[in-house]
Amino acid sequence: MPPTKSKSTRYQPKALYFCAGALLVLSGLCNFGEQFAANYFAQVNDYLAGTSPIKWRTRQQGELEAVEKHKPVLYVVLVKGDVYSMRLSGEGLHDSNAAAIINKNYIPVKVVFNEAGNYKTLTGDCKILQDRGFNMSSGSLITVPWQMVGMSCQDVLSTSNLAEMGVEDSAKLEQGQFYGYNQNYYHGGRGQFGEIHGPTGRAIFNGYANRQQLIDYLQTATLWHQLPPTKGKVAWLPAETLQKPLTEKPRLIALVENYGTASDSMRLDIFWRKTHYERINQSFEPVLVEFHHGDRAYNERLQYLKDKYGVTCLPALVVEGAKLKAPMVQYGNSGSSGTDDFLHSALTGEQKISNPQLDRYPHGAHYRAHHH
Amino acid sequence: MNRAVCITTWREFKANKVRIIMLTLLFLAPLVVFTMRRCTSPEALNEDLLSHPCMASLFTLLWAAGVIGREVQNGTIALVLARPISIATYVYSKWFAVAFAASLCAVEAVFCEHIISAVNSPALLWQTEFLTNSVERVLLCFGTAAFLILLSSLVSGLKDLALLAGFGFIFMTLATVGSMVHHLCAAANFDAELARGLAKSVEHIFVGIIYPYIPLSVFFSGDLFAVGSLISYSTLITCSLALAIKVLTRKEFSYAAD
Repeated sequence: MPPTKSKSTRYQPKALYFCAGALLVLSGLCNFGEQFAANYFAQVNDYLAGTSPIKWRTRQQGELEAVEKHKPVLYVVLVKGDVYSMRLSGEGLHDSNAAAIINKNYIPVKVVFNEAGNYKTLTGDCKILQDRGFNMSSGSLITVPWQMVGMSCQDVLSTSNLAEMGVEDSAKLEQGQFYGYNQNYYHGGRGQFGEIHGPTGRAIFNGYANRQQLIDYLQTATLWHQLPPTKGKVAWLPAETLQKPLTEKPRLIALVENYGTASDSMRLDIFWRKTHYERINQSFEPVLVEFHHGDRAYNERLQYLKDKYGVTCLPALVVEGAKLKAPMVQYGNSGSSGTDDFLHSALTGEQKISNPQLDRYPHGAHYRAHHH
Repeated sequence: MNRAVCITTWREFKANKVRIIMLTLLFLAPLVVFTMRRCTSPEALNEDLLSHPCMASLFTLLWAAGVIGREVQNGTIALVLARPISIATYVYSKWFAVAFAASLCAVEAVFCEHIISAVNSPALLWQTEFLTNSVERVLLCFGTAAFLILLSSLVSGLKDLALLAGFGFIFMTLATVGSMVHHLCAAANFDAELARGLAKSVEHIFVGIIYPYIPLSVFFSGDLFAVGSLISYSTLITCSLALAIKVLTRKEFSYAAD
């Protein structure tokens, strides 16, 4: 009787067992190899390794070159194991069009974080960028204008240009509702549910969705911080006024930077707020002195003002008047309430603290208001 | 592959109203979220709002929960195996039936999301993102289905869900302990590399099992072909199926086992 051709119910698929065993060994090797011999297993496991059409610089090289060539630095922050970092690196940064734009318009610097969320064990460039507030939880691109190299991520994202901020109606600014406007620039490829966001052409690009969006970002991010910051509604007098003798009205000298969160906050919160600019225009001779990042020659001409009033950090407000014994200086931006007290004191000679809590922790301020 | 086993699996799912309701909710949830987003954010009208491929894991879980365990529990597996069909074929068929059905649901869901985006903004219709998302979903379904088949073969009824929860709990515990040890080592200035390496290895194993994701678009880059995830993906499928077959061949089946 010929044997039956059908397999028994408890037939053992030996080929499957063999394949499973072999793959298990291989997988184990790759996994442990990645941790303990990363160099040998980089091509097997590391999606962020491999050749690239982009001419990467180290952080130090890139920052020096950016200042020399007046090109923005493009920090490409990648996180190992992060899906969007893999896709950004493997698909987006290998796109020939994207690579061409980067090589032509930017100084690209790639920084790879080994693991997201582990803040305590960072070293080298990762530590420096983390101290500057760069996002290390997911793949992101940050464009830093050459004048702002070395500044914090918060300062890079902040602006006080109304067009860059997307302010269409300035009425809210006059009411003092600026807060959150100038730093609300986290946009990018993906939202919290993984949905794709449209490009907005700002300084930071979080996550990655597709090549076109990356190219859109790269084409528009170079424009970031190219427009001048707002001067508000204060009727500023020309800088030559500083050479003239003091009049009956006290003179208010505002020393502000063209970039940075503190100066941006002062421009938006003080120079745009109706109560403040009306008071300044009515009771003071206002003069705006701007310090430009990256323009040493321009700033040297104004350095004497900082030395004269002992100002080491910007922004600052200085009031001098014929009736005042000595100039009064407010160091840093102390917010609306602090500035209100300062202006009141400058006009009346009385010390007024309307809200001690705000004075101690003024919103948007980096430095406590200080009266001389 | 046995066609009858596949069809029985799908019919059994269709008969379960709770699962049908959950499947419908899984379809609708992203659509509702994205519709709300479109209503509240004008720029979202021109965005391709696609949910993450990990949604495929939920579809697979819905299809695979107790797919073998319930047959063991009510004794129908003994009837199935009375036919000229090996346990290996039975496991393959179950795996294929679950993975295929879950893939179909997951791709259909992303298709609906994409079509709604394309109605608002027709230029989005040809975006490759949709295709990549769909293929990644299919791969996820087949990977996750293999692991869930293994869990279902280990216990009877719907106890595989408890096993899955236990698996997740062990993972969280290990991750927390690993992180604590690492930070303690770092605080005490010990060389924490060994601890970190071991913790990361364990983490990779768990993540590879629970979320067998292959970032497909990365493979399109040409000169970069990291095969690590492909190897772990194949390992998960082969090992899970092999173990499931091994476990079932060693079991004695009777009518109404529990």
